[in-house]
Amino acid sequence: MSAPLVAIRDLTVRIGDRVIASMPELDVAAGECVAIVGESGSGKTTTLLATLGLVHGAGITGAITVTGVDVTSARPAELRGLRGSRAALVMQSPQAALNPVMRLGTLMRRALARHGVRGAEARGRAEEAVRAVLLDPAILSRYPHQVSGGQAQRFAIALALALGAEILLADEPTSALDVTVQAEVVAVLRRLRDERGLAVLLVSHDLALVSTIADRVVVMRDGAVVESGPAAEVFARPRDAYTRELIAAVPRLPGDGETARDANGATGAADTVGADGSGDEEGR
Amino acid sequence: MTAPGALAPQLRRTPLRRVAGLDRLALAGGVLLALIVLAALLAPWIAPYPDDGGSATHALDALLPPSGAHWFGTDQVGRDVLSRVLFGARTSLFIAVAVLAVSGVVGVALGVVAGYAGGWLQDVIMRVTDVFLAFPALLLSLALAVVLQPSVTTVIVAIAATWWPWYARLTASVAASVATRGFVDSARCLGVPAPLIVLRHVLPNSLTPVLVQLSLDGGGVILTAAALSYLGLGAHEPTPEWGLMVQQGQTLFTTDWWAVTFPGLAIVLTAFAFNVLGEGLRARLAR
Amino acid sequence: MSRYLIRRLGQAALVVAGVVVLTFVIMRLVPGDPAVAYAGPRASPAELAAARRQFGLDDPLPVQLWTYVRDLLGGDWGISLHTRQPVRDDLFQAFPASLELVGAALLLAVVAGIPLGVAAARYKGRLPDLSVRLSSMLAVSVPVFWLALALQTVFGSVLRWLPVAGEYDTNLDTTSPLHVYTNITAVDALFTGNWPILGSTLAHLVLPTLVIAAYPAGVIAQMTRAALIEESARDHARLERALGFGETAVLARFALRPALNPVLSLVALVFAYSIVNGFLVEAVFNWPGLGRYAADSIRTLDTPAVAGVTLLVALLYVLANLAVDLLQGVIDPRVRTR
Repeated sequence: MSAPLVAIRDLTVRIGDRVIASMPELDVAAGECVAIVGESGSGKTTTLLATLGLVHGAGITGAITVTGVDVTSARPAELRGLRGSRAALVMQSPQAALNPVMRLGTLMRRALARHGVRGAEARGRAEEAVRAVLLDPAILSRYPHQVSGGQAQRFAIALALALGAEILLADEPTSALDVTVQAEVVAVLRRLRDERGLAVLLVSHDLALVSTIADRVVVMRDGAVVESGPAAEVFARPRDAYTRELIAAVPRLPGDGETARDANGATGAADTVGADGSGDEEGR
Repeated sequence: MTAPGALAPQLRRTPLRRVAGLDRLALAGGVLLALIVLAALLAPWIAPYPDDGGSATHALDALLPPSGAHWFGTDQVGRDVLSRVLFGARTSLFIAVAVLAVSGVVGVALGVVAGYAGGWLQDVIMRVTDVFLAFPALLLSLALAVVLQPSVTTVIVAIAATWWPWYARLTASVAASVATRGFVDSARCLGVPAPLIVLRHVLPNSLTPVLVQLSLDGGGVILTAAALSYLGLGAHEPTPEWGLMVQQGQTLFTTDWWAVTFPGLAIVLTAFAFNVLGEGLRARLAR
Repeated sequence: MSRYLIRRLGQAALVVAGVVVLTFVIMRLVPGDPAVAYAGPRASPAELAAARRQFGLDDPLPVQLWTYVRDLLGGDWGISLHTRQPVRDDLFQAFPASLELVGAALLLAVVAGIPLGVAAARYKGRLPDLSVRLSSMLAVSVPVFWLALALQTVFGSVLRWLPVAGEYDTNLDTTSPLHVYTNITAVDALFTGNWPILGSTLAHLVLPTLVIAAYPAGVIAQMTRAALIEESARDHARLERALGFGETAVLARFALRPALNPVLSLVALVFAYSIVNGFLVEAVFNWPGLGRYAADSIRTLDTPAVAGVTLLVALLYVLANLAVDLLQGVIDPRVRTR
C-alpha cells in the first residue's frame, strides 16, 4: 500500500505549559475513514486543525505529514498550497463556516482560482463537484442564509472535491444538523469514500455516527489517546473504561444492540470498582 | 456547545502579562492624564507666573519668544503662556468633569429606567434620545450657546445637553439585558419593589460600559469645549482657556507662533490621553 | 423588506418631527425680542408691532409652532436677520460649497482609513498596528480649528505651497467665468470644462480637506481594524484559511465586506459631524460654505439663520442614517430578506 495521506507521529500541542492535545501515532490511508472521538475539550479538534497547520499561538512538537509534506516545517506558501487542494476542512456549523455576504459560487470560484483553476475548467469542476454531493448547481448562485444546513455542509464537501482534495478533515460534520439531514451527509461521505477513494479524518463525539462510517477509531480524553483500533473491535470490546462510558452514553448503536447492552453493564461495573482508565478489569 | 477548537490563548494568559501586554497603551494614557490632572491641581504653585493665569498684564513683555524666563513665550498682553496653559488645564478638566458628570447621571438614570421598564416608557425615552442624537454635539451646543450668554457654564450646559443621549442609549441596552438575568427575576419574585431592584441590581451591573464610554468621551468634550471657546461662545477674557488662547493668538501665528502652538498642543495632549486610556479600557472590557 | 422599510421610514419621520420641535424650542429660548432684533433698536412702537405681527409673536406658542411647521413645509425657512435674504436661499447658496469640502474629506477618509485599518488588522500587535492605532488616536484628538491654523500657516503662509483662503482664485471670474449649475464649484468647473477654475478649486481644497478628513479617517481606521479582527476570528475565516488563502487575502477579500457594515454606519455618523467640524475649518480658510454663514449668524445673533442651519444639518444626519440603513441591504444580503 502507498504511503498514508496523513501521518502523525508524537504530536504534542501545548499552550503555555498545558498539553491540550497529544497523539502518539495516527495514519490515514487513501479510502479510509478514521474517527477521533471524545468529549469537547479532549483535544480532537486541535489535532485536526494542527494537521492543516491552523493552530496558532501554541507550541507544536512532533511530526505531521500530509500527502508527503511535513506540515510542521513547511514554508507558509507551501502550506497554503496544500490546504484545500490536498486536504480540506469541513466544519461543524456549516452556515457559520460560509462567508455570509458571498454567493457560494463566488467562494468556489475564488478557491479554485487560488489553486490555479480558472475559466471554463473551474466552472466544469464546480458543477461536477456540486452534483457529486447531490446538489443542484443552481445553489452556486445562492447566499449561505438561503440554503439549509445540510446543503451547506454538502457544499463544503463539494468545495473539497472541486479542489481535488484527497482527504477530508471533518470536524463534527453532522452535530449541527437534524437527524435526517445527518443521514444525507453521512451517505454522501460514504459514497465518496467508496467510489472515489476519498479519505476522511473525522472528529466527533457522536459514536452513532462514527459506528456507521469509521474504519478505525481513536478515543481521546483530556488531550491524550486512551484507546485506538479498528472500529468494529473498539465498539464490540472496548478495553478502556472511558470508552465504555462513551459507548454507554449512546442510546442505541444502529445494528449493534448487543454491544450497547454489554457496554452498559461493563460501565456499571467500572463505576463501582473505580474507573481509573486502566481498563484491566475487562474480563473477556 | 462551544467549539473545542476555539482556543482563546488570551484567556489563559496570566493577569500580570495582561497588564504588561496589551494594556500598556491604556497605562500610558492613564499616566499622561494623571500628570495633566496634577498640573491642573498644582497650577498655582508650579506656574512660573501664577498671576498671569488671571488678568495681569505686562505691556512691555508682550509677545516675547520662548526663553529661559518664559519657556512658552508670552502672549499679546505680556502674560506667560506656560502659566496660562497650566491654568487652562483647570478650566478644560473642570468642563470635562462637569459635562461627563451631568450627562452621565442624566443619561444613566433615563437609560436604566428605559431598559428595565421596557414597553412604552422605553419607546418614549428612546425616541427622545434619537431626536437629540440627530444633532451633532457641536451643532446643538452652537445653537444653545447662541441662546445662552457666553460663559464656562454655558459651555457645560450646552455640551451636556448633547452628550446625555449617548449614555441613555448605552445604559438602556445594557440594562435591558441585565433585567432578564436570573438574579433580577428572583428579586422580582421575592416582591422587592421595582425602584429598589433598579438601584440595587440593575444599575450596578449596567455601569461598567458607561464608565468606559465616559473615559473615552473625555477627549471629545475637551475638543468641543475648546471649539466653543474658540468661536467666542464659551470662556472669555481673562479666563485661561486653551481654545480661547488659540483664538486670541490666531492672527499672530506666522510671526508669534508660540501663542497659538502651545495651547493647541495642550488640547491635543489632553484629548489624546483620554482617548488612549478609553481605548485601552474598552479593549480590556471587550475580552 | 418593505415592512422593514416602512418601519424605518416611520422612525425617521418621527425623529424629523422631534428635530423640528426642538429647533423651535431653542429658537424661542432666545433672550431679547426677535422683533427688536429685526426692526432695529430705534424702531417706533408701530414698526415693532408690525414686526411682531409679521413673525406671529403675539400668538400662543402652540400656534407659533404650527405656523413654523406650516411655513417650513411650504419652503419658508424665515428671513435671515443679517443678510435680509430668505434663509432657504442663503442655505441653497452656502450648502453646496460645504458639501464639496466635506465630500472630498470623507472620500479621502474612506480611501485612507479602510486600507490603514486592514493593515493594522493584518499586522495586529506589531509595528504597523501600533502606528496606525496611535496615529488614528492622535487624529481624533486634534482640534480642527488648531490643525487648520497650523496647516494654513505652515503650507500657506510660510512655505507658500498652497492657497490659504477662499474656494478658488476669484480673479479667474473675469478671465474664465464659471457657469453655475450645481453651485458645487469643482463639479461645475469639471462639467463645463473650465480647467483654470477647476485647478484653482482643487488647490484650494487640499488643506481644508486634509484637516476635516483627519477625524473621520482616524475613526474609520479604528473601526475597520476592530471589525476585521472580529470577522477574521469567525468560522468562515477559518474555512477560508483552510482553503489555502493567506492572511491578507482572508482579510481583504473575504472578511472586509461583512466588516464594512459597521464602518458604513460610521461614515453616516461622521458625515454630519464633519459638516459641523467643517464650520470651524471654513471659518479659518474663509470657505464660502455653511460654516461661514453659521459663524456670521452666530456673531449677529441671527436666530432664524441659526435655526435654519441647525435644522438642515440635523435633517442631513437623519437622511444619512436612513441612506446607510438602506445601503446595508445592498452590501449585506442578510438584511435584504429581513
